[in-house]
Amino acid sequence: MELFEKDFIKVKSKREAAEHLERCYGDFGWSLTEKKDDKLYYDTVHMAFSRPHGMPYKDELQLLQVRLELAFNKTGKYARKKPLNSLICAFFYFVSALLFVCCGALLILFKSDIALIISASALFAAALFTIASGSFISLKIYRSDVKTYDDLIDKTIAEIEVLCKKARRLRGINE
Amino acid sequence: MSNRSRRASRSPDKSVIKIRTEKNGFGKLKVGAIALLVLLQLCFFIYLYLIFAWISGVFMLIAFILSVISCIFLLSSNRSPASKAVWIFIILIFFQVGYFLYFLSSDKYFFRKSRKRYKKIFSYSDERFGAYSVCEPSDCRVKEDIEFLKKSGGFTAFSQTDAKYFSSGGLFFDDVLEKISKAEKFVFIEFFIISEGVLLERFLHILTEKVKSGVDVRIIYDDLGCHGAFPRRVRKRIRNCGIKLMTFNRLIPAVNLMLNIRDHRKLIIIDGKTAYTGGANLADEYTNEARLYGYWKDGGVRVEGPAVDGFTLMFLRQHDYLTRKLSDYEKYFNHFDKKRNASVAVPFSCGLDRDGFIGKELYFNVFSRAQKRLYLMTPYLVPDEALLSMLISKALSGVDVRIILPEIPDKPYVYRITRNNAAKLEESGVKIYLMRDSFVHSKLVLSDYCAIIGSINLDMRSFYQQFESALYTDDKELMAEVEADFERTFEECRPQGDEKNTLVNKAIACVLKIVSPLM
Repeated sequence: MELFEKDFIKVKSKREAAEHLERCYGDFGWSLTEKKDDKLYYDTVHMAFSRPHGMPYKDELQLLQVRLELAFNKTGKYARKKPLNSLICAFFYFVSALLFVCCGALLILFKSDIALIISASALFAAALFTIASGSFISLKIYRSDVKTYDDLIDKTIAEIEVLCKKARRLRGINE
Repeated sequence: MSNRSRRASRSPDKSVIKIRTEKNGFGKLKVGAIALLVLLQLCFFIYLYLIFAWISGVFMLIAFILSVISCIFLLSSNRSPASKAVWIFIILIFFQVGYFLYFLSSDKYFFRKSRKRYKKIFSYSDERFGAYSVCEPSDCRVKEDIEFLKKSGGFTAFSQTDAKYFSSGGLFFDDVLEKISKAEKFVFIEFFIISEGVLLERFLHILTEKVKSGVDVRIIYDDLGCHGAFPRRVRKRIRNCGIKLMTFNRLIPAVNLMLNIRDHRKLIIIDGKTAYTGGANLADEYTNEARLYGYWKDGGVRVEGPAVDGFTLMFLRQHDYLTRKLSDYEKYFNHFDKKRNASVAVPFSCGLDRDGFIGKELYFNVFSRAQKRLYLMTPYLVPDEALLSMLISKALSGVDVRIILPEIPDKPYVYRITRNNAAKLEESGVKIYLMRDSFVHSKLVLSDYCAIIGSINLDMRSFYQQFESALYTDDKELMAEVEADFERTFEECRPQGDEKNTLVNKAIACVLKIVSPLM
């Protein structure tokens, strides 16, 4: 009877990671029994797997599998972190520029003194400079973060490969 | 919003993958609603009391006298010193209602009737429990422990019993199902948590067949442990197929003075020939077929031989308490096959059905008698000062004290205290191991002369509030199996390391430390 002969697991995954995950789960002895789209979200798929119940080294495989799942989620976390610092930086510069523009506008609105108009122009120029430098710095941070997190993602993917290799070895599958 | 436009949106879930879990919103809603109703009722009672006090005019004097009386009662009670200190703190701070809260929480008064009922069941069942021969243990420390268990709780020491250790929930339940499929007379099951899922389906498939063939199947579950995970339709299905299902301490939306008293035991008895106990409950996460907190490390023990009767007695007493009827005890004893094993096996339980705190005292005795090694595996490390000091003292005396804790917690606030206590122990030479990417749920004590496997956590709830079950044994073969599991698990662990000790963390730790004796 299937209930006693097989183990079952249901996984909800991001669409872009589904194929990779399916391959990795295969290394742990799971075969896909069902795959369907999420009813609400286009980027989510649901997969159901099964594998023989009485497998040797099942506990070791399960511990490795948890590490695999955590590694997968780590890649997602790194991908989300890529634009984070640059966005914070851009936001800071944008607020500063806005402040300069507001101050300049206030000066023009309430006084028509030539000195103040010059000051307001200086503030507008400062705003432009802030936006330019902010864009430049944010872009630089973004590029640096993309490189850092891409390296981390590559490392994590290598980790995933190592885990899959260990799983294959435990299952007695030669390379 | 139409289904199509919703499909066009991204999922708010940030995880790349998510494994199915048993958590269900309705359960949380139910417990939340009950908690709210209880809180409202409590506030209402306090409000009524304050109005009465205000009208009577002599409120301050009465409150003062009642606070003093409560403190005297409290100081003369057999609570732990730390718990007494916390309660006195509460009575003093909230002196107008503190004593009221204390008496509400005191099992001494509100569990009296239940305790009387238990005593009646105990004396009835004791008369029907036969005499068993036991080999004289060679180690005098085992002899002392046996004596302690006998005198404090009336637990019998058995020999001619085989015990087998299982290092994971998967292995444990595979063996249980195999044995149940061969049951002929009766199957008794008692769990803190029973959850709908693949494992329960496997159980029900076999149990239904067994009931049809005339096997007496009885299940006891704890209502709080099962909230939200064990729906009414499943319970109805179980009852309809002829299984006797009993609930321990039902959750009701009223001020329930015994809400905190839970049945945390894990027991399976098959035909009086085989018994199981351990840390695993009947739910998919315990076999890692569902994921809650990473890899789930659990374990259990199978007993075959005369010691099974000890577990049968435990179950029947709880059964009789719940059904308010006395069972025909003799019918369920002496079905075992004697084994060629001279080791000692003592099935024991602890809880409010007895006067002492047997689990805690036994742990203390075993810790104090360890000479070379003391290995512990526990999800929570919130013992009282005496146990902590004993562990420190043992480590300082050169005993190899090692504790395995989870790296992923299930209850963050308890985990914070656990890690604080672990850090304190580590300073004195206790080796703390955190099992990577895992939640350790096993409750194991391995000393150089004995092992304890069961449901007893190293925390105040297990020692003072809950019903627990365990096996004490000096079986060398079993101890070697447990030791091998410890060695394998050490390899999957990392040392504790330094925690970020920010001001907020320190403040939280201080508050949690104050209330930890009540946890």
